[in-house]
Parts: sequence; C-alpha cells; structure tokens
Amino acid sequence: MKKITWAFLLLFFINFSGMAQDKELAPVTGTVAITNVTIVPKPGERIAKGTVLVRDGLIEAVGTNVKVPPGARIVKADSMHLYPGFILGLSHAGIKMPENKEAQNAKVEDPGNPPNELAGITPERKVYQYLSMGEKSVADWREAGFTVAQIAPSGGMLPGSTSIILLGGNMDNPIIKAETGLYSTFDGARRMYPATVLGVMAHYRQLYRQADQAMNYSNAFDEDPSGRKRPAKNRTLEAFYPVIKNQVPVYFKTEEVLEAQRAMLLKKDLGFDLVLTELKEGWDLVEDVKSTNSKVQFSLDLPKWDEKKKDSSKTENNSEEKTQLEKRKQEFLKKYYSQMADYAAAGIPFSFSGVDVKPQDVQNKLQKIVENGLSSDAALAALTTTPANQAGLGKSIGSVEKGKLANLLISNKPYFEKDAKIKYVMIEGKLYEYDLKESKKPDAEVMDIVSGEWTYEAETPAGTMTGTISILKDEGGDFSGTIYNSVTGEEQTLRSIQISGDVLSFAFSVTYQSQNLDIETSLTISGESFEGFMEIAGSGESFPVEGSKVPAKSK
Amino acid sequence: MILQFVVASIWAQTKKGEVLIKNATVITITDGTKENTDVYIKDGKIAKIGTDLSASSNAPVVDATGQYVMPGIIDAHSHIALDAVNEATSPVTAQVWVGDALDPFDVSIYRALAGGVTISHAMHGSANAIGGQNETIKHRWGTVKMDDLRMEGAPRTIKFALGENPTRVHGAGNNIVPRTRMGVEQVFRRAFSEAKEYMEKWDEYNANKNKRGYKGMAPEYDLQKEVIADILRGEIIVHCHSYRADEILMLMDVFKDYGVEKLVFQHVNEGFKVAPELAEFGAGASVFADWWAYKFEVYYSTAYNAAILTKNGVTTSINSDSGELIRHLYHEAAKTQKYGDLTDDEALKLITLNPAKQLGIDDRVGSLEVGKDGDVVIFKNHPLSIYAVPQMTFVDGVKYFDINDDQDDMRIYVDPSEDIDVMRSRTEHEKCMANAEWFLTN
Repeated sequence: MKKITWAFLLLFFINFSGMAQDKELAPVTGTVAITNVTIVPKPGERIAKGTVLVRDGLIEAVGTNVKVPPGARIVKADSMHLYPGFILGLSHAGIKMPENKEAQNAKVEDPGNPPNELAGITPERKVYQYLSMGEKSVADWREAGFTVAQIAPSGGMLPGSTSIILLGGNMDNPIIKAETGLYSTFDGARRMYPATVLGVMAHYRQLYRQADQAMNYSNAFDEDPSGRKRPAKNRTLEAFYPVIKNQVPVYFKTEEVLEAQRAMLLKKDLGFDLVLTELKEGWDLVEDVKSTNSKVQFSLDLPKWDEKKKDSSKTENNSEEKTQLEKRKQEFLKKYYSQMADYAAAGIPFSFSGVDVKPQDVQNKLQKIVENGLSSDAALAALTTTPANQAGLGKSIGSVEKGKLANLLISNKPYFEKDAKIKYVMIEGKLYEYDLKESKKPDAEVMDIVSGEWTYEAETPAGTMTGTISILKDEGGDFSGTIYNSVTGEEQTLRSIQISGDVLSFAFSVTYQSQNLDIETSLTISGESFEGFMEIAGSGESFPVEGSKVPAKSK
Repeated sequence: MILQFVVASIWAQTKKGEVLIKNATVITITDGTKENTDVYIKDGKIAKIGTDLSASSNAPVVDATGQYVMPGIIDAHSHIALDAVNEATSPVTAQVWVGDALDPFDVSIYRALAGGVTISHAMHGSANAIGGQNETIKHRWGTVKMDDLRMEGAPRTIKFALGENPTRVHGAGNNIVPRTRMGVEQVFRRAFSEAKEYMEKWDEYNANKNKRGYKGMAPEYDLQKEVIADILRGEIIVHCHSYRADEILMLMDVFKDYGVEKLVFQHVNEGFKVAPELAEFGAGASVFADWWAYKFEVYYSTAYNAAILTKNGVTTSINSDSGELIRHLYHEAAKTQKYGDLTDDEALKLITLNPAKQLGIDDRVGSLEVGKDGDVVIFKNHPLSIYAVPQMTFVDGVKYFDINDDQDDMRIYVDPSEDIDVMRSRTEHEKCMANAEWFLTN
C-alpha cells in the first residue's frame, strides 16, 4: 500500500520538477567531494579549507587531509562556508490536507456530542498520508537550507500524528521516522463541542484518561484473556497509547503565553512529554518550561522587525502618550527576538518551527535573533544538533560527521552574516544548486508609474473579486497604500510594500467568514497593466490577479 | 488515581507583602469600627490591629489619617479575567472549568482593584443548565501566570442556570432538551441520577478490584459525571443563575431529593418572594442592587431585594456580573441604605463577609481580623458615602493599586504590530451569555 503511494508521489514529483526553482544536477557518480571550504561540522567547531567527501548519500570523510578518490565529482567551494543541513521543527511542509467541507457547514443534531471527525478529533490520522513531495513548500524550505523537517497535519484540536522527513534526496522515500509525536492545538470546533478553550481542555483530559484506562484494560486482557470481555477497538483512544507510554511527545501549538501555560497545565495533570511548538510569547516562561521539563520550538513567524529611526519621534511631534506607547511597542517587539538568548542562557535547548512563515524570510529572522543576543553557535545548534537529538536522530543527522546522512548547506558567507546567500544544499547526497542573484534594484519606469490608483480582478476560490489598489509615495520615498475588495466590501491598509525590478509586492489582511486571512500579493507591472498572484499566507493557496492603472484625473 | 478529578497544579508561591497602615478609621466588619487605629500586615496576613503599632524598619508605612480602611471587596459573580465564558454546546458541561481559561492580562482586573475589589468569583456563563466549574481569583495584577490568580485553597464551585438562557440556547437554538423550565428540572434530575449510578458502579468496582480472581471491567471514565458526583458528595458549592421564585423553589426541591446542600442563588431577582424558604434551606443569595427588566423573566424586581433577604436571615451579597459595575460595588451596597435602611455593617457585609461565606472563604477573608489575609482597601471618605474614592488596594499585603501612581497604559503586554487605538475597549453588561450568541442567532 505504502509502496504504491510513494510510486504515485514520485510520478507527481516528476511532473512538477520542471517547476522547482532549484537546478537539480544530474548525478553521474554517487561520490562528491566539496573542496577548499570552511566547514562548521557542528556548533562551535570550525575547519578552514577543508574537504567533505560524500559517497552514496553518506558522509565518508571530513577534514583537511581528505583524499579525493578518482571519479568523484568535485565541487569547488573556495571561500564558501559549509554547515550541517538545517532541521526544521514542526511545519506543514509538503502537506496538503483534504478539504473538510462537511465539517465547515455541518449542523449536527446534538452539538454536545458530535462525531469526532467533525469536531476536529482525529489523532489517528498519520501526517504522511497527506504528504506530497511535489508541493512548492518542500522546494522552498530546501532552498532556505532546510534538509529535514518535522511535519504535522492541520485541523481541529487533535489533527493527527507527526513524522520526520527529508526535504529532498530520494523523493520516493522521504520519511526518516514515521511516528514522532501527537500534534495538538487549542482550536475549538465550529458550533459543537469542544467549541472553546474550556471544552478543549476538558475534552483533552477526558480522552487522555479514557485512553489510559483502555490501554490498561487491553494490557490486562493480553496477559490473561480468560473471563475478560474483549476490549473495544477505538482508534481515537489508541492514538494516545504511544504518548501515554512516553514513547513520543505531544507537540502542542502554543503561540501565546497563556496557551503555553495551558499546555503545561495539561502536562502536569496527565504526565505526557511536552513540546511547546510555534511558541511566540515565551519570554516570561523560562522558569515554567524548566520546572515542567518541557521542550521548546520557537515560531519564526515573528512580528516584523521594524525599528523606528531614532529621531522620528521628534519630527512627528507626538503626544507624550503616543511616544510612550511607541516605546512600549518597541520594547515588546524586542522581546520576541531576544527571548531565545534568555532560553539559551538558562540552558534550555530549543529549535524552530516553521508554520506560517515564509522560508525565504527565515534567514532574516534568524539574523535578527542573533543581533538580539543569541550567539550564532547557539542559533546553529537550534537548527541542527538540538532538533536532531530531540527527535532521537542524533546519530544520523545534525552534524557534518563521518557516517551521517550527507545533509549539508553551503553559503557564500557565514550564514548569520548580512547578505549571506545559500549556493548549495545537499540532501542524502543529492546536490541542489542555487543562483546567487542579488536583490534587484527597483525598475525606474515602474517607480514612476506605481503611484496612483489601479483596478484589479482576482479569481479567488470564493469567486471573482474586484476592486482598487491605491499606492502613495511620500517625500522620503516610502510607499503606503490601501486595497478595496468587492467580496467583503472593505478597504484594508497595505503592508510591506516593496518594488523589486518590475515586481510590486505587498501584503494585507481580510476577515472572510470570520477567519482572518493574510494575503500576500506579487504583481509584475508592465506599462499600465499588471499580472500576478495573491497568496493566502501559510496555506500555499494562491490565485491569479490582473489589473490596470486608472488614468490620473487632470488637475 | 483515574477516579479522582484532581484540580490540577501545584500553585506557585505568590507574592506576600508587608505594610503598616497608620491612624485610620478601621471598619473591621466583625468587630465594629475603630477610630485612629493601625493595621499591620506581615507576610501577607493581618498581624495586628491596634494603636501605636510599629513594624520592622523596612516595612512601608501608609499614613491614613482621616481615611477609612476596610476589607478588600469580594465580588461573588463576575466574568473578568477569562478567555472564554461559555462552552455553550451542551445543556450539561460540568466537566469544563474556567480555571483553564484564566486571563491575567485582562485589564478589568486592574479596574476592579481601582474599585477596591480584591477577590472575584470568575464564573462560567449561564448558557447551560449545568455549566462549568468556576474559579475564585485574587486580583494579583501584573502577573502573566494563570496560577498566580487562583486563590489557593478556595473551595470548588460550579455554575448552574435556570430559565430563559438555557432554554433559548438549547431548546430554541438547537431543538434539544430543555425547551421549557420543566425541561431544565429534568436536565438536573437526569444528570444527578446518572452521576449517582456512575458513582455506585465505581464504588462497586473499587470494592472488588483487588479481590482474587476479579476480572470485571472498570466503568468508563467520564469527567462530567466525576464532577457531578463531587457535587453529590458535597465537595462543590453550586452557584445557580436564577430569577423567578417558582424555579428557585424547584431547584431547592431537586437538591433536597438528591441531598445536595451547598447552594447559592445568583441574581435571584424574585428572592424577596421566597426569602424565608431560602433561609430555611440555608441557600445564599447574590443579587444586583437595582438592576432588572433587561429581559422578560426579570420584570418583577425590587431594589429592596437585598434588604428583605438580609432581614429574613439569608446570607446575601451584591455582585457585579460586569467589568463596569465591579468598579463601584461600594455604591451598590450603599443603595441598600436608601432601599431598606440596612446598617453600615449590614450594607458592607453584602460586599465583604457575605460573598466570602458564599464562596467558602470566610475563614480567610471578608473582615479585618488578625490572621486573615492582608486584603484591604483604603478609602477617602466612608465607603458607603457617595464621595467615597478608593486610594490604595492591597492583596496579601502587596499594593496593586495606588491612585497616586496610576499609569495611563496599565496593560501587561503590548502588541508591537497593533495599529489601532487599543486604549478604548467596550465593557459589556451581563457577560453571562458571552460565547453563546451564535446559538441564539440561529
């Protein structure tokens, strides 16, 4: 069964491989030597002008005295820097969940006792059933230097179990470890139990204790079936067994400080191993994490680093109240980026999760985290050795050592330095090469025409959406703008407006069917019209959009 | 181990303070009002009440000459500091617990402190006949820890509800029992009967499980029935949302049938009609001073309610059920002097010792006595005067509010990406039905 699935996925991949952004180099030989490169085999170590020899997907030798065998393919990486391939904590890379239309519109007879599938209680689901290596997110994470990822399904309070996969290499056999944990969230069901955090907490206890009870009875039955009723089969409860036996942890989605406390409360009640994942607000929890012996994966979906120019408060002539507010906002912005250094100082190992963050933004986020106090060695550990050890895979991944999987990344400068770019990524011996393109200067013609009003038409899953986009350039050359859409009939402010070459990009948020959606837009401007796409952040879902400029009214 | 629903967690050590309040008019509630008297709080507890007291050299001293000191005000019905109020999906949700949804970031806590309120009863809403378990919280503003808000050692309580709310949500909204007041009674009787059966099954299993050769299966664990069984065992105080006299009598009859004794009625607008019956049962009553007619079942009301209940020997309190009313409960208490001529002590008991009794914490708080918790508030002018203004509020001897050090932005966390004016937020009355609106609009 599984074989057939992978064969299918392989076909799928081949179909789509033409779309991948990386240039995949055809292997002539299974032996590759990367020469004359600065090697960081693990955090804190450094080998200057070394060679890494890879054979058949494994690292065969590392050092300055490595003999390159004849026939090996040689990759000259002079002046470049080689690291262990990064390992991503929890993410939805490569995962496409089936649309559960039924659950979205369901009206059950007794909302207090709905079917599990509709209530978001599906711990028996295996994430690898939804894995498709052809998904763009796999190639994107790989291009960002990530070679291994923890993947999780999504939907409801118990979406299913997690796996660890390779983000490339042998694409029809990407799973390193099939069962690595149980993914849990505080997301309630729509109009049925458990709808709120109250219900989720109570139901978690209920299910867990029922599972504990069922497991014990099942064990007793196995020991001595005589005179005992045959245990009932219950896939939902059975999914908890590996957690109850402490064989795998619960990965709890805990973005907010209160969610993290609630997960730790459940851990204290029920006794499972806990990984706080997607954690954003952890700066006040160092002691709690330590005393409950929980593990941490920080979210990289951090608020935009947007340090105000120092003298801006003077020129803006703010009230004292507003100045004070801006000061507090800055102070809290810093906490998001400096908390990792606090955890490192407290000796708490952590890694990073990759939900709701664009892979291409990760390097910038990591550099800001390092600027805010985390040593680059500690940052590297969070990307390599720590996640490897936490997954119980310390012997096969996480460092550049003989015998480990050949998962590497090679950058033109030290990775945490500004403007460092990734040139090669290797996964299980397979080499991916990337262009070191500089970010493009804004096209002068586009800069000229972009200010003003544009109309657009987008083909969304909810039907055609039309509206207008207004872009304004201020004296300092900064852009601001708004977008109106016909679906919600509202106008939203544009964020992160950028022009790179002839491409205008920006983001905005809309609330649609009580869901808050962040939409990222990228438009290629040609003359007085544009074409491009809008993407719902984090979903991988995108739709085409086109439009044209509204002629400026003569004054 | 699996049998017992243990209220989780080892509470972290909360802050305990020391303070000497000098030369105040001290309203003790249980031992009269003392002029020119000092109150000394040490390690979070009231250490001494008297004249010319001295404290350790580094204890903060507050000169309260001409001011009034009274016990911290206690609100027996509120929904502040909660992320979620109603799990409105079922007529019985005894398994849920608002202690799981505490929100120490709710600025309403600070506002309550500014009104002299040191303890509130964070309640589940009234969407369900048997709602969730509540949590008695101390207003330790500034902490980000849910556990710091819990009043360690306070008894467990649970929310019940009668009348329009549960029948609208479940009967009218979802076409399930209860659609009528008769149905509400049946929900209680069924829940109690099932929990009793569950309890008996477990008792039988536990009595036999260690016997040789016993191979029976344990009854399936059910958190909801565990909690209702604890009500039957007398381990949980029931606080029931109620208005009409007939349904108040009905609930007391149900409780008598099942031997449940710990009962406090909330709102109880028609309590004045059945005050002797309430007193006989020993049920408490927690009421509004003068608020009614916001829906059909609340038309027959009177501002004399609290006074009539008090005079009939019912343990009565005045509550807020609102993030706004909670800031001036002392005014609400004073209304009973216009409507019912209660004495100062009787009126102040409505917001101190009596709510403490209703929450089962009167051995710890509710009056100024040596050994009780250092929860006090200092007023400029007598607290029952229309000119009363709280000056400082202490919980466990720690000062959490000082009118002379009241910053503009008291929020604990600030969202760095917020771009709207967040300083204004809406305060709702009767949050009882929060999180349940969508059932009603169906």
